Amino acid sequence: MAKFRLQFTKYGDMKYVSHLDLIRLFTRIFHRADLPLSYSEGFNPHPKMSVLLPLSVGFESACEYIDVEFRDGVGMLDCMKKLKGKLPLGMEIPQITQLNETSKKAKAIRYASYEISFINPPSEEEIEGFLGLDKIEVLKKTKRSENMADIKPDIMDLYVADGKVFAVISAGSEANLKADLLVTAMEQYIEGFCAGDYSVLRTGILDERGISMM
Amino acid sequence: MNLDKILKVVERPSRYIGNEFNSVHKDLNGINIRFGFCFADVYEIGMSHLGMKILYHLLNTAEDIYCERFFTPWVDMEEQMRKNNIPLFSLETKTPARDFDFLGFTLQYEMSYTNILNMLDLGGIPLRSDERDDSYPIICAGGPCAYNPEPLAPFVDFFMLGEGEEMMMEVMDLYRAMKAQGKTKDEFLAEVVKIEGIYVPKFYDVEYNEDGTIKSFTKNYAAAPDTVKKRIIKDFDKCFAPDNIIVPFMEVVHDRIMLEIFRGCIRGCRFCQAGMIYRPVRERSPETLLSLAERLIKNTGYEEISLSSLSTSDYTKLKELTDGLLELTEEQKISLSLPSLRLDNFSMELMQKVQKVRKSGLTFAPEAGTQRLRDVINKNITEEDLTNAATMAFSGGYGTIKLYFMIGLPTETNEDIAGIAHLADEVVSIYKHTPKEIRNKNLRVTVSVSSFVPKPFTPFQWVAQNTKDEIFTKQMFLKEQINNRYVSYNWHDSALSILEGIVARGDRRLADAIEAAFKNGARFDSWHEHFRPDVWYKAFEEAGINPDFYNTRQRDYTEILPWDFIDVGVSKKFLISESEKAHRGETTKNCREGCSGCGVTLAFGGGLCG
Repeated sequence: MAKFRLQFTKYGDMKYVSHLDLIRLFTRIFHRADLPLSYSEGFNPHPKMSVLLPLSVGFESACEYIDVEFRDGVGMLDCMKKLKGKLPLGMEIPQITQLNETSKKAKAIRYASYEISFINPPSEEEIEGFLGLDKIEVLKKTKRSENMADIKPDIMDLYVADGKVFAVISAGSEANLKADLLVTAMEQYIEGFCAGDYSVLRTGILDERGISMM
Repeated sequence: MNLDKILKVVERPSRYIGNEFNSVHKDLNGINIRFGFCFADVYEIGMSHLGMKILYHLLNTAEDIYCERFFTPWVDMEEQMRKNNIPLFSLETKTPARDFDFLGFTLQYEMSYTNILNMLDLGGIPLRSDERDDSYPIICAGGPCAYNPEPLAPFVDFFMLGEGEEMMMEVMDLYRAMKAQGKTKDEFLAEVVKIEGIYVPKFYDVEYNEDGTIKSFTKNYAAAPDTVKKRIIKDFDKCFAPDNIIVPFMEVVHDRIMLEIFRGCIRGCRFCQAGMIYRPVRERSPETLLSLAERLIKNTGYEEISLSSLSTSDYTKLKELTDGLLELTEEQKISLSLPSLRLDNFSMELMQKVQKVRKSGLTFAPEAGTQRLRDVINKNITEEDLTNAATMAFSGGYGTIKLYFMIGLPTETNEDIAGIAHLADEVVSIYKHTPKEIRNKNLRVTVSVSSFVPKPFTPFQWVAQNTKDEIFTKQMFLKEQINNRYVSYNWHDSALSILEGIVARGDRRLADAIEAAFKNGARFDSWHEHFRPDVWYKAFEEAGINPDFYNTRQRDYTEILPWDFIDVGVSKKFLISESEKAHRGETTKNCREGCSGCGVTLAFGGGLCG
């Protein structure tokens, strides 16, 4: 038995592949690559696999993680080699690491970083003004409820560079802010700012010290 | 074309992105012929269709042909496309439909016809052939519903009848040559009609009698054939089969490897169009299939393999094949499913094979509730076959059994309908007699009842379909008969079956009604939530058509039927004799028990009915 964490990308059209479809996609990728998946016991065996942090449909990502367990005899290099040519366009696997007891678990995730591209991005002053607000209250919708929430504590970092907005915001099981809700808040509190057609790229998933999950 | 903007607001955007593993991408510079393969339903339905996979990969084996896919955009996508002036585009390169040399529709069910018109319209392409000049793609169509092409005749430039693997490439070769010579569409149609299996509607004129029936169907172009003969692949074992099929991102209806084990059917059920039009039976050898399965598993990564045919358990070397397949699949946790099992040759051994990896429910199709009616339709199974199969299934630990029936069959009485409930009770009582230690804890018997729709090229092509009220009365009668808490009963929308019946046996005049229905907003008619019978009946009125003429009228054997000019191999004489036998309640033996002289060997040369 060997457990691995794979970093993968979702570029281009891959952004429309939903979280649910991703597990099926990986099952088939590993089958094609002749990597023997471990299965759960029971009536309806499932491959032992989990995506660390779901990504909204429509967002691209340079840095997603999936944990997977293979049956005996799979090494890291082997894994890399076998996956070559088995991935759909827009998906790459830049890094693989073998997991052990000391490896970080999914619950260690605290933040995610994003690069958001607007046709007309806000200015540095506008971002500064936005971050200077006492409270940034927006309507947060969950499956069960809708209520106003202050998202200011969820914004660790936010700045403009090269015409793009860079953000580090809460992610994971304790607190989670979606990038599109951040954009909604910016529209709401930055006067005259209109997001228009924008695109989101996730650039990292980080623990409490801001270190990647690899 | 800014697709991103609209893909972010529609449901299931992965329907429209293409780029799936094994989808074909080519350098457009070397391409002579661009072929748009169109399936007039949403992506997840179209991508479940084996025929599309075959022809897509076949066309793309030619270096200078690029075949791309088109599906019907779901209603939310259509709305966005119309609002943002985005024309119908191909999945692979997002090229507008208008820029293709061909658009080829596969006709799988009649209730997709308004979607065809919608796709043309979304592509900015005039609906009728005579409104399209040479700047538009050539519109062609094939598939089972092409065996009555007439309701679509004004919209389609040419039809391909029968199996496409050889015919398609012959058509492409001709087009390539004529395109190089700068020939026109009309010149091309005048030539393509000489290829066997090709029907060009504009080369034929129809005259009608005063009572609305067809008076004459005559060609107006000397080179067009008097009868159009369907094509078959004689050596099916050697026939092209793709080993690198597309693996969709989203879950499609049949999301698995489909291994086509044979074509045709030995049975000759009298209601079944497939059983007649796909004759003769031709099998692939287990060696061919096992090698194909191995490559497919490797190239797709699919976790399920299903055998595809009209009647799996009639495959002569099923044991050898399933043994070999299980060897391939067991270690890799790939499940094997065997659909279309017949009740009379279902075995314990077969059942155990299906459940080796994953045990789901079993489905059987007695089709009718009494022996008398099963004889009428030539189903050739007995109540004992059902009880034997159920006994085996329950002893083997199955708890879910699904039974398929039809109502509205010719000569049907209330006794036949009550027989359906009786058979379901019988199955429940078999469960109760199965020892507790070996049977499944949960029992569930589902009785699924569809309404019979008479189809062209069957022995029932002349009969009157039940009216909507008759069907409804029968459905409710059966509901009263089923009083067993283990049995659940579901039935189909009778209005939809009626409409299917009208279109299935329609003629050229019906095209006006289809067009009117589309223009009045009919879409996705086979989808319950979108089917609007009122729109259709208004369209019939606008087109001056009495729909009863097509479905509730008993036809005479001497009447010229709209599809009579097509030769499917099975002779009209045979269909008439089968029809007569049906009304006498006599059965006909299957092709392996002895030849009944349907005509197909005569049409395609001897030694074919495997």
